[in-house]
Amino acid sequence: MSLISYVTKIHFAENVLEDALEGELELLGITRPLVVSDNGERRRGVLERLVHGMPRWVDATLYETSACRATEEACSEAAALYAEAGADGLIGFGGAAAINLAKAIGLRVSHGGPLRHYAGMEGGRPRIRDVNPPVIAIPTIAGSCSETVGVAVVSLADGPNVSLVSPYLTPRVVICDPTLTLDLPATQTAGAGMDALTHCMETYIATAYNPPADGIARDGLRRAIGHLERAVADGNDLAARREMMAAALNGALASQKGLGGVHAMSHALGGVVAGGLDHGAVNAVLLPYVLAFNAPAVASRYEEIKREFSLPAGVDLADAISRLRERIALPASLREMGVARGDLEQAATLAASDYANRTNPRHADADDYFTLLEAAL
Amino acid sequence: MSTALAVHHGPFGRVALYNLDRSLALHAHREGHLIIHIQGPPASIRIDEDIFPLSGGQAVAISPWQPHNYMSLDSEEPSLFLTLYIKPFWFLEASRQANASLRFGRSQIDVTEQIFRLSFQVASAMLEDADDSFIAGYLYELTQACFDQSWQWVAEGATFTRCAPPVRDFRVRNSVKLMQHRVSERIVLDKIARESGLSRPHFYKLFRQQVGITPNIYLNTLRMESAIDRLTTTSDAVTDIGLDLGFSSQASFTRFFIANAGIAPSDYRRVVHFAGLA
Repeated sequence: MSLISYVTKIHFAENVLEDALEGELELLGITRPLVVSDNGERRRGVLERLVHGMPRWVDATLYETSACRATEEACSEAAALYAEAGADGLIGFGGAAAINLAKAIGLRVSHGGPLRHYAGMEGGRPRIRDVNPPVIAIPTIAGSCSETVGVAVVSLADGPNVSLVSPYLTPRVVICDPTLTLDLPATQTAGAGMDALTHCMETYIATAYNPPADGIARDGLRRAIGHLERAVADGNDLAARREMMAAALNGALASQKGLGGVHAMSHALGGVVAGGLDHGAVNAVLLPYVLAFNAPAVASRYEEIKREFSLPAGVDLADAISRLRERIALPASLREMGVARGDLEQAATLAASDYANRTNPRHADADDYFTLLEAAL
Repeated sequence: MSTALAVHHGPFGRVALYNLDRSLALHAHREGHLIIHIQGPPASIRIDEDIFPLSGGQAVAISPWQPHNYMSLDSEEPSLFLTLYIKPFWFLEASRQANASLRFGRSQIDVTEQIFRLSFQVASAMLEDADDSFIAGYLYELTQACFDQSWQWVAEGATFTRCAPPVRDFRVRNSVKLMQHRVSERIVLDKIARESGLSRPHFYKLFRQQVGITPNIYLNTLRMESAIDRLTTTSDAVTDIGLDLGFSSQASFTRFFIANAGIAPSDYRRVVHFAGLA
């Protein structure tokens, strides 16, 4: 059977941040939150908006990470800060790095020990119990797709990226306020938007049977294709921003069905390439190649996607994605983003063992991934 | 002689490391079943009508109540298998398909690096007897990795297993209930047929159609479950367990047990271990 659960509470409205935050902090009984934020929120001024929006009875502590992904090192540092401040809850404010980090800190402060102990691949899933402090997730970009998910991807102190997986890691409350994304630069908007679109597309074609996820994913695809270019062209187009945040939320909600080869490879590359990569931009490069690879397994679903995109029957879906990527000025190859040929072998191996590979519609091994990565280089 | 190196029972079901050097009788399980070749000469297995290889890099997935029998190809040297019997309810959360009961999409599983690593970790944890709490987590990952793969498309063609229809005939349902209630008695299937209001040939035909296996295999599964339960949770003598299940002697019970599990009941009892943590 398919276990289908839509579990968490979501606020979605323009300027909802201040109202929802006060009410939810009160409901969850949080008076001393640790706010976890990633690079960029302060620069853009949205972090200031959050700090000013805190109710007077709340004593918040701030932890900012400069890394573009959640790391165990940052987790340990923030956990110490959490204890020192006597915090009683977490707010993940930003992109995937901040939200994943908030989940991981919650796990660390309630369970203790190295994060590897809880990694899914290390048999850690049953070790995660329902004792985590409450986490409120507030995405500030439309595309991280991590806000409603019970998974935290974290780089371990001794190397690889691991996935911590448990329903108890799902944030208790999500606050989606599209006005938080208004001044995001065009390149970041484009990358995040392609991440949201890839989430919707990969979940829609994933092997699992989950009709609500399919419906949510298709709705997300329709919103993304209709508004991504508008949001990139005019960062203050609030309607476009709202629709892109909705597409990203749909991508996050649908992803419980499972992802696929694009995410398997972008997770892997994110762990291999020093300095990190724009996850969404990497997805945008890889998506057409993976669509072509998966065509024998799921071609019939491509016709459904093309209907959501209003594409004529004769048009190739993979080509249409490549052209969209060009129009929003994202890089055309992995090499342009700093991936070297020497990175590919390790990335291919990691991709084959990534969670996302399990639900790719076509069985793919490390050789298949090497071929795909080489083509995308 | 086949041997069991380790057997663990837990909330997940059962997991065993078997060294097999002889073929088994056709049988079935209530659980989702995975057999992973660890080392030794190649063997094969019949699942429904098809024969699948069980050699390096190959595993098989057998859905609940799918009849199968292990076929040894080399009587000189045993092959070592990691064998999982996963309770469908324990796995519910990880299962991602529209059909219940841990039904696999395809029987043949390619042992990827990831599946190999997880199998190795389960086997090590069982043999070292070190930290039981790891076993459940590894089994979960291993089962999910195999389950998901069984639903992925492969170029060789998707020989997806058929889904058994639900049992609709009340007489067959009644016979199933009778067998479950009387497993500890000396059961004669003719009598079950009669009490269900069916002639013997009609009973066999209808049962096969509706349940997917013969009444004999079904009854054998119930006997094995009962035998394993008593061997592992009581200190009753093997002879008594056999007699209570309708066998005329310990020898015939032992023969039956070996044909279905590969090893003797006393060996099973000797190696079984209860893993903690759900």
